[in-house]
Amino acid sequence: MTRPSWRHPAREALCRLIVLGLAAVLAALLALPLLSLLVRVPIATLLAEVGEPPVREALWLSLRTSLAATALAALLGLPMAHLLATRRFPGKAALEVLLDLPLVLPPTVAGFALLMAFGRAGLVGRALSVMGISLPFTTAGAVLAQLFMSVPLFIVAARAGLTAVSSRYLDAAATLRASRAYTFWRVRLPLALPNIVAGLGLCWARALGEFGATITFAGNLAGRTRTMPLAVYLELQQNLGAAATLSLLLVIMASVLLVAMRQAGLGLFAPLHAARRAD
Amino acid sequence: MLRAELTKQLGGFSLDCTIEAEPGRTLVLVGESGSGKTTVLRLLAGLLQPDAGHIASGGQVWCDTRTGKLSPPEDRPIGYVPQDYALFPHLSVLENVAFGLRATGAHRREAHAQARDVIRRFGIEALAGRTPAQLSGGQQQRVALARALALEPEVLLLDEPLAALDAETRNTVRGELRRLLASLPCVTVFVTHAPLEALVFGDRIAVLEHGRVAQVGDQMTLLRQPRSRYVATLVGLNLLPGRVRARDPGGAVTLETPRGLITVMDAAPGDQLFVAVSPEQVFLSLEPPEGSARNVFVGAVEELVPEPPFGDRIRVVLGPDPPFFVEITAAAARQLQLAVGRRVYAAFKATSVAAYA
Repeated sequence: MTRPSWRHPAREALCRLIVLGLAAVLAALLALPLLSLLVRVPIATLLAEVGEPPVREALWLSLRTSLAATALAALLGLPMAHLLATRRFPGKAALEVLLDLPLVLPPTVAGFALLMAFGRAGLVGRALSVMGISLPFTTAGAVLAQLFMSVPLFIVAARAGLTAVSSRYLDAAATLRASRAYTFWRVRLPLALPNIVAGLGLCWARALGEFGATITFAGNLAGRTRTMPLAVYLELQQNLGAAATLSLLLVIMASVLLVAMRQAGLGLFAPLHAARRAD
Repeated sequence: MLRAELTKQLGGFSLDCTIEAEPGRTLVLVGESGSGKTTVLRLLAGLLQPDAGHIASGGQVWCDTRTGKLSPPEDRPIGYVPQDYALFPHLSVLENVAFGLRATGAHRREAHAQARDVIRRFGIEALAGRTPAQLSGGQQQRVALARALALEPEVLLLDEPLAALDAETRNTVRGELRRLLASLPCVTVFVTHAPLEALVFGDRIAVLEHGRVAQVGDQMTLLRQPRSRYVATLVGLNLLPGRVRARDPGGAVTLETPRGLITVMDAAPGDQLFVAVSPEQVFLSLEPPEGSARNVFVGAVEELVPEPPFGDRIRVVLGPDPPFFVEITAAAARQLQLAVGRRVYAAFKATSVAAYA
């Protein structure tokens, strides 16, 4: 007697059913909540709520802070990404761990750590307060919290893009008498640009959705630090319509970003893999 | 005048060679893949650093490992065309050609005007606005040359400039490139694995084998007196190392070769000589030959290859090692009923052998 073979038609059908079934369960788990949001907020409500002060204020603040955080990430992150992509130096591994840490750290811990550093009694905060600069519970603090949580995503993507630029082009530039700086601006940076832009997209989405670090470090002050995710949390207890509207807006913004990146030929995590498909 | 003495260790490969090239002339470096041709070009360009060596061009020292002098690529007056051209994919043809001019400080407008002149001379002005992805292989090659020559380099380095082209394009581009190189005032170093290209382009030809220069000379020297098996195979000669055993007062010289004793009528002085036998001057027979041929080898047929264009002549490869090539007519091959494995006698006259140092 032989045991039923793996190639038995009934067995194959069963396996296929299990795979499809599990995939369907997961898809439903992800889709249902989002669909419920859509059902919950009719378009008319959405349009009406967007104009209301709590939603309008949070939306405007979120846009300003997340774009500021993204701009800072580009300014501060690009040199770092370039260093990591092109140089070997002692302590590089430690630096890489440091830069990856915010990706896995609980955001509240990040917020608390920021408070320890930049709070009124903090390591740097005391010196800053002498100069009359205060970060906690300010809009600038919200930007700092978002930057802290989102800049690693930009660096990973930008670094992968800069690394993936083939040395053939860099060599060609050198033989055409181009200095290193000129080669960076005219060759390496433009060729890595798709990944850098995708990295900015990732970074912006992360900054836009930041909650834990912001509320811990910058508090929940209307018009100053109450960004959309914080407003959702607050309105959940006061005004479900506003909470749903804000949530839906966040879903729409994230979806638009993802679709735009796909249209541009960049999957969300494609930039992270760029180095592997170098050349 | 470009002169370079270079040694470089790369993994298990070692390069040790000296090359010289003159302005207005083309030096071809020919060799199999892995012989170190591209390494030499990259060392000349400064993209690699020699372990020890000295490079000087036009009175300027580019590299001297004894004094520690090492100019980076951007400080060397070179034009470099890599095998895949490496045109900047995000820049137009015009911007590619203008790249070096702008990198050396020319303003955009001025650089573009100058680049436009260059591409006009190359007959590719119509392509100015295209990106490299929109060009054919032949067009890319011209853009790469135009880009490398826009800065009027002292030394032009070409790495297999025809290898990326399809066979048909290669034939037309070969002639154009030959005329272009002949008109240039700069030193040209041209790397190729193709013997035909070496013969077409080389004012001087250096044969690289395993990182060493096996032979340097003009086309005729290489064709008539190859000094390495690689070159001999390229030009279609049998080449055997020979040690002189006896010199007859009448002029005949007997040499010992891996194939047996060979008698020649005219030999250069010296004990160690190269012996070259043209495959067309060898006769095959199934029985030991009678007659005037003084040199006879016995061998088994290993391969029968019809020769282009019509297959009227057959190239017969005789074993055992080293292979010995014989070229006979198809009719003769039929008559002898030649087949792989068949034992034959190969005979040639003492007067049809060249022996040189």
